[in-house]
Amino acid sequence: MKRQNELSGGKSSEPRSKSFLDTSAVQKLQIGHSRHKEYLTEAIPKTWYVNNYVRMEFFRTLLMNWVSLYFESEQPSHKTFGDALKYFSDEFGRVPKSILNGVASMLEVEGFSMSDPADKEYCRQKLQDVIFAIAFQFDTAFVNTGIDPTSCTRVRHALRLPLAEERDAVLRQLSLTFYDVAECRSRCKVENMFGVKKYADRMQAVSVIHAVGTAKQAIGKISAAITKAQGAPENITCRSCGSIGDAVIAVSLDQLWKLHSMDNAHRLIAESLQLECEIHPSLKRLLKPDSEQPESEG
Amino acid sequence: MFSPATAPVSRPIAAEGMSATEYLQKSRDDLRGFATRCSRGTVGLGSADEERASTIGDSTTRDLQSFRETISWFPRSKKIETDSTDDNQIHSPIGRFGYPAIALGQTFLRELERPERFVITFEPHLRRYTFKQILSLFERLQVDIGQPQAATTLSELRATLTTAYKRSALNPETRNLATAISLLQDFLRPHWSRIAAESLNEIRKDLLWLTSQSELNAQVLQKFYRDLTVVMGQPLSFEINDEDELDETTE
Repeated sequence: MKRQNELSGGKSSEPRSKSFLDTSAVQKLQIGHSRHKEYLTEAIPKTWYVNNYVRMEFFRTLLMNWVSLYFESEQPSHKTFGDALKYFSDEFGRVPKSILNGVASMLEVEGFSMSDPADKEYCRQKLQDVIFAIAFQFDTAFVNTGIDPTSCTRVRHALRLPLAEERDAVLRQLSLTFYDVAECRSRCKVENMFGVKKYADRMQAVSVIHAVGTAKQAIGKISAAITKAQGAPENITCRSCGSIGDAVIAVSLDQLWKLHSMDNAHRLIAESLQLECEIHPSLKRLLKPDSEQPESEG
Repeated sequence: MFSPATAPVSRPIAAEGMSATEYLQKSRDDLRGFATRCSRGTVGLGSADEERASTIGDSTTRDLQSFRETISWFPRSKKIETDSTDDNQIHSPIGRFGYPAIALGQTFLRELERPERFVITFEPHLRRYTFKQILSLFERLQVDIGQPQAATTLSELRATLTTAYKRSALNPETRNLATAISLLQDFLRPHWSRIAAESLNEIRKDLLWLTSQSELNAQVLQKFYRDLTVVMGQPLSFEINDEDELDETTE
């Protein structure tokens, strides 16, 4: 009850709107360039809130790829960790190479060799440490609002450091659960986004956004996916849910929240929902010589 | 188990007619041989020690064999006190293993490497040994900051962390120690070029606290993480820069 009061603005001394972070902002704060992190840390008032859906997206984009790489690199066919990295990067084109390269450069900076078979296992263990550290960091840096209309079940438990001999088993279980999309879908309630009136109305508002410029393509995809889902909510899959993720995050927020994002599509979505929103500048823009004190775009 | 501290004392015995110089030479040879055996790191006792141990009895020799398989030797400095100024006077304080420490005239042997038993598969021992190394480099770095040699010390510290990680990462008993070292690496990485002496001092305190813990479990590591966050002010950093790819969060 105390938590509920706090979330609904029970303390009058606090600012009216609380900071809710989209996955894009979360990622920058977790693994971004130090200059970008410094900027975002200053620009986004604490406390930083996320929900279960944002956590799922963060795991999907970053940690699950690292977990897959960890187990892939175990294969004897990869003589070195670099082999596994290259295979993973070439074979699964959808995985952002920058995320894999981030691991590689980190390992090399620490003095682990990507090309020495003797160092392969050390690299794997270091990657495992990073996975657990980032998962723990996520839980300490962000507060879960507990509000997720989809009740996404892909990440069912916090990823905490187990006993040494159980680490592999815990990561394996996390991965098996996450990628068992049929089971996850049978447990979730994403159809609430289209069946519960307060969310359905807002989804409808997002689906009719008329976008121009750079966000046109992204908004177009979201609108098409929403329209399809409205017709048959029971047919929504984890994959199609992923394509309306930006809308799901924004629609689940009410006027108590201010959405912080790096994604320009969120500006239009938030406008359509009359939701307070701030789009923070990209690193490229931040590092431009003439943008010493960048103004946010929100 | 065989305890070197209780082994029979064996001093170099001066043969009849042996001069002080010859006696000194013999003692030096003895010391040199002993130091060589110690420096092997994981080889355990040398043959001379075994021979000495065999005088205690068969059971002790058997103990010695298993002892040799499980222990490693790490040197520990022992200060030898002497105020001798007489060239002809030989002081032979008996060390823990019966080897004489020598000070002859102005030639002071101030530091004698003295072995101490560490079982490196035993996590608290390895932790103590590892953090002692790191703390010593921290101390040196605190002095070197702002000096040209700081970069060398930093390089040594990074190499030490990597070596320590490799030494502990593959053994389940010491796996959490590797995680602690990994956290240290991850937190220090963005700050290597501009680390402050005060920060090092705070991390030293955290490491001392970590050393004092009876067990390195998940709770201890989580507190260590939080303490590092307080000191370094920034969470773990991986410096991934690619904007377009990172922003792709849809599945």
